[in-house]
Amino acid sequence: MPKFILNGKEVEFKPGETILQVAWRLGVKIPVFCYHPHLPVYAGCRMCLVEVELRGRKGLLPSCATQVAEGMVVNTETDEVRQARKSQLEFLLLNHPLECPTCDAGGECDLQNLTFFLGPAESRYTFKKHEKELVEAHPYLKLYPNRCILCNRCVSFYQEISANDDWGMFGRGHNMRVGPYRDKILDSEFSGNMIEVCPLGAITGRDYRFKSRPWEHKVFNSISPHDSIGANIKVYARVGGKYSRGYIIEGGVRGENHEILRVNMRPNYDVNDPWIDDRTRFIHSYVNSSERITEPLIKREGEFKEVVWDEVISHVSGKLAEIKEKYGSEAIAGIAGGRGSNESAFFFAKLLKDTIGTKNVDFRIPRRDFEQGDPLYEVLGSSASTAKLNDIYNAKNIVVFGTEIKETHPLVGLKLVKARKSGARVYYLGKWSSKAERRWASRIYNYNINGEVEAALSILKIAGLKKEIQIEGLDKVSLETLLELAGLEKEYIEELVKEGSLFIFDDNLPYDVQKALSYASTLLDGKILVLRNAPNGQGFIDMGVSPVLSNGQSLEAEKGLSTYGILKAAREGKIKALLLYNIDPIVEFPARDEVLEAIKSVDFIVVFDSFWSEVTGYADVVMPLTLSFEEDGSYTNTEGRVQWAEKAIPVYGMAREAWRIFASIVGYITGENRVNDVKDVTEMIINSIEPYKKLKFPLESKFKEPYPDNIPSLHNIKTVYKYPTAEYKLRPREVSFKYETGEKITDGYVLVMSYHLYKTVYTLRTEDAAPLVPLKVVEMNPLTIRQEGIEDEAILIGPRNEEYEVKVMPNRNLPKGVVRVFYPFLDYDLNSLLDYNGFGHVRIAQAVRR
Amino acid sequence: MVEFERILLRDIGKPNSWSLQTYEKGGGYKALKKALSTYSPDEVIELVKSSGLRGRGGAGFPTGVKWSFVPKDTDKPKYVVANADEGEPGTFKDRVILEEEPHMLIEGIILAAYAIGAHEGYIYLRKEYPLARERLLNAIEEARKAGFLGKNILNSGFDIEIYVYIGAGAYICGEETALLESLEGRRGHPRKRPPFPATHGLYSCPTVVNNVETLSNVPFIVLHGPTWYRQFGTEKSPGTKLFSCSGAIKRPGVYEIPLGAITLKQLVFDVCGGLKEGHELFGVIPGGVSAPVLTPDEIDVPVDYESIAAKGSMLGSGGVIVLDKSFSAVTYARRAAEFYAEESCGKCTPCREGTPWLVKILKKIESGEGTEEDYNLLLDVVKAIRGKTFCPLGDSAACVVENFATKYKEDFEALLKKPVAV
Ligand SMILES: Cc1cc2nc3c(=O)[nH]c(=O)nc-3n(C[C@H](O)[C@H](O)[C@H](O)COP(=O)(O)O)c2cc1C
Ligand code: SF4
Ligand code: SF4
Ligand code: FES
Repeated sequence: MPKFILNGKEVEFKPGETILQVAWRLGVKIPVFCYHPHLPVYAGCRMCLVEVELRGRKGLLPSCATQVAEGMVVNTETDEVRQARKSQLEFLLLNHPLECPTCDAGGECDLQNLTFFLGPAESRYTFKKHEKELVEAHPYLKLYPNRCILCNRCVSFYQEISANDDWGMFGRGHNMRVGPYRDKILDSEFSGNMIEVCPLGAITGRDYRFKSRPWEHKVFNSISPHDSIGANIKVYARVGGKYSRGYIIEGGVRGENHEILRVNMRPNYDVNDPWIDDRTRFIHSYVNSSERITEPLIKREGEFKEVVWDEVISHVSGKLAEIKEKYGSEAIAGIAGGRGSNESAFFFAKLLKDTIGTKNVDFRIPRRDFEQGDPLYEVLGSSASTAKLNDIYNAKNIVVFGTEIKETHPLVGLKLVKARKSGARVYYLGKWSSKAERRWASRIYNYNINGEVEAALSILKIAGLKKEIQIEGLDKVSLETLLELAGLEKEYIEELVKEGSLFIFDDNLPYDVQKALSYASTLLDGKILVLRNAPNGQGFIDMGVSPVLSNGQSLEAEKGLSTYGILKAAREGKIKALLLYNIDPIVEFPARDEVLEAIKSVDFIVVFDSFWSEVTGYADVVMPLTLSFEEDGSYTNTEGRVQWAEKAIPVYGMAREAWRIFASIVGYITGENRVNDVKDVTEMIINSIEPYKKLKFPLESKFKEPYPDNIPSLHNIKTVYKYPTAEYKLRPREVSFKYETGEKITDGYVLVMSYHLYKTVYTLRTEDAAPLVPLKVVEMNPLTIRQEGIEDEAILIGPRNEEYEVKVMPNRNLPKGVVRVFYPFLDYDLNSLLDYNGFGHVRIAQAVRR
Repeated sequence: MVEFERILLRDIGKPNSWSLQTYEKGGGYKALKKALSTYSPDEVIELVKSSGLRGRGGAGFPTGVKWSFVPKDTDKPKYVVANADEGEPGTFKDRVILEEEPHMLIEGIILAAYAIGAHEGYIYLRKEYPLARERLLNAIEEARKAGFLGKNILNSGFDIEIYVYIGAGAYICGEETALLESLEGRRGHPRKRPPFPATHGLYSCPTVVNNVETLSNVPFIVLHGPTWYRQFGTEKSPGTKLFSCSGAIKRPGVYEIPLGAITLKQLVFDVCGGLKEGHELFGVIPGGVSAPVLTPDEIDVPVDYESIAAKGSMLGSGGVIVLDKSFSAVTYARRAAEFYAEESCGKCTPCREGTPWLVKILKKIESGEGTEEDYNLLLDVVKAIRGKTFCPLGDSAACVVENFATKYKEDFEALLKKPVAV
């Protein structure tokens, strides 16, 4: 390796390394402001100047931007260097307000710290300081421009890493300032990262503002509960101590002021490298929502009565045993929301499948086509992604199909930006597309609203043609027909079907889409990355919360009812007891009326949840659950990575971990010993769930740390492919009316269910998120809005003339005939109009005028 | 008065000097025809190299050498950019070419493009030159009609297009990397170097950025050969140079002078006719405001790159500013500092924060409120800026102020408040 002289010592360097990188690697301190290891080099602050001598020339150079060359002599601690640092600090403080006592960053501010160690003791500046106005750029962000040292880090992140464009630098010289370009809310799902890259307190987060000092809180390693990426986070919660307001967490009972102060990123280069999305960062105060369920409750004579845990456990156990006795175990079913820990999912499956003996267990949405089985398993012999998240960086050709990534799995978008910037071709195929996709997609194609399946089948057909492989069932239909139904152009789609492609799609898409893309990936020697919609969806499948899989294997003939099947059987009076774990089918599923009918037809409903909702009203028993911040547990992210989340705050009220409750019921029914420690459950998982056996135990000591990098992948990539035996048939599309993109149907519009980053069961219980949550909102193309003469509000009319009052927001990206509605339906019951595929049909009454 | 043969300024004064007709009558586009029919691209680079032509934009870097840095085996597109931002105060020599002889620049760009294998040329024109814009666009149209621009020009198989891009009025955008950022539609902030534009320029593709005057020399070198070219100027500074002379002189204007043929003193007193009645020489800035001022007893120096550099200043852009004694050095320093503070792009700390501070201290001294302490602080701030900035702009600001403050210290002392004895 080549060498150079650093502070008098000969050291080795790798070609391409900068002076700063080598120095930091060797523990030589060089102060910086604008340099950030994850951002492009800016070299503007000049804090990192060091003395460099090369070929007889000597001078100060920015170590962050200067690559080491053979024969260089570098000194980081000469008088001149020290003087230069002092000068930069003096310059930066000329106009700095020195409001450290009221600044959030106090105690963790680079400017404060470096001034303390290296800076001048006083200022020689006798003129008036600049004063700039505060800027509110986002409900959760406030910019204090006077504090800003214009290091450009936030802009680098915002423009280069997240490829957004509405925050940047304005003006030049001493008029330069940073901030948003428009007075609208920042159009970014990553804006909060700017708080963390800012070396001082110029950008502050609303959740943390004026609340705490770093020495007053404790940090817990956790996992984002919002989506299945499983971003690694640090949860800051207040601890007792001399300067705190005196709340002690360990072992204590939750007090009113027990709060999560903030959530920061915890770098994990396999998962979130190191960024987190705004939902993960800002949405956490739902832990203190007034809608939390606090006590176990049993309904007696139409009224909920608070009971103690022992009573509720014995009551439910007794009821379940009784129903099983009377109607058989198949009369009992369980639906989950896929939000809990692996430990809880494990015991949910155990309770239903082993103890009660029913296979009617699912956590998926009630699509009718999911009755057929698990689409990935059909093709791959395993229900798991064949790609890791970071395969996004290895793939040259990436096809994102059907998923509005920004709304459901935002961090994938950041990875795609990086992939595209380093030369990958990234395609997006969707019902429509927005600015969010334009940030990372090199090409975007929109298929017909009801042409999703054909679009996926076209890809499979092309892959088959390329490989000269006949695909049974697909041989009867021509590529041209498929493309026409999908509304896509042949040459474009042919171009994106390439050897080694990575397909990214989510698990709410039609069965045939998931199956076709999985199949195409095997034909092309490519990979799939399935984005689970439930935050712990992969964990729930692995733990067996599935009617078709147990312990990763197909139940074949013995399969149970899917969510759709359970609801249908319930309506037919075949389900007598229903366990609802973290799910409210009434507001989280389409076809509200049918769902409601199903719920009403069940004799005994037990709801396990953290919040009051619609279905709690129909429950016979309600049990309060802890949230992820209130319990220890493991989660499996969408790529199959098992990660541990630490408990950060005490439980709320009498809430309990779900696994503890299920285990108690199992113990009560079977007489088995109760389990008391979550790690015992983890051990049970590792001992019994096939892919998890690869996790070495004891893991206990490792659990508390950021989980080790070398956890083997849970799912062996070299799965044996089972080519589908089932025929691919062109299914009659389940949308019950004719619709072509852009063309208005004579008497109405297509209602399409979709997702919104800030409309989830958590954000709807987060008061401070209100400005971001689209309450009672539907979106339409502005042209349609104008055509219909709508101003802000409108009344939608269903087929039976029922009326729904909604707010109408313009969205230029939508086809003209579409009304976009958002899951979950806590604020409006428009899901009454949706079929199980998430489509519906409405008319619009004349606008509501004020 | 000394008179020299006019090479670049050949057509000035002729009717419609900016038309294709006039330009061709004087021998215009002959170089292009010759190059396309007899020289390979490499040979053109070789010609420019051996002519010794140095960049006229300020730094004086050998043009042929710069062109030879452009990679040959690349599948990326390449670009030629003419720097017509001419923002250096006291400099207005490119303007004459742009307005009066636009075809000379166009021919130069085509030759440069041919030499490095580019098919697109950009002229980054300062916004304040609307007439130049009109004449350039007109000339480009004429050249296209005549077959000098477009596909397969003069049946040579070579394609070339030229576009005019109008700047937004920032001095820093004359700096080549800031210019490229601006051309790409971004903020005019200089880029980190290396990589240099020759390998990573416009859109990260190989790019040659040359001053208008530099490119306008190329047709003559190609047509007449390096030996002919070298009969003008000195060994190390060959060719003629345009000097734009301003200040309290009798004949301000643009003059073309073989490098080193006369002294700065001769330029001021013979060529420009000396100072106007009632004005006394204070000093001469030889190459635009960024070049340190020379005192009256330092100006007996030949006008070529080396000789002026030996005096601690630089030939720069050839913007000769004659300062007279109507103002004090403090005022001159303050005016210069104000320019830099206004034009600092704001990217780096010392320039962004330091230049306005310089202005404030200078104003304080100018108003008679300054003390010895302020004078020392001024020099301290200069030191804190010098050698630490991202690009040469901040450095220039520091050097210029320092230069006035040390060379004309008595002007400063005269204004400083004396400590009152107690
Ligand atoms: C602050 C600054 C301003 C500059 N302004 C100009 C300018 O207006 N015109 C110009 O030709 N070069 C200007 N330059 C020089 C260019 O960066 C570059 O060196 C030149 O365009 C190269 O062309 P040349 O080699 O033909 O001189 C400037 C440089 C700096 C540092
Ligand atoms: S707000 Fe913070 S990160 Fe952004 S430029 Fe200012 S100091 Fe840097
Ligand atoms: S010295 Fe720094 S602030 Fe000044 S113009 Fe250059 S890069 Fe911009
Ligand atoms: S850290 Fe190197 S210049 Fe800012």
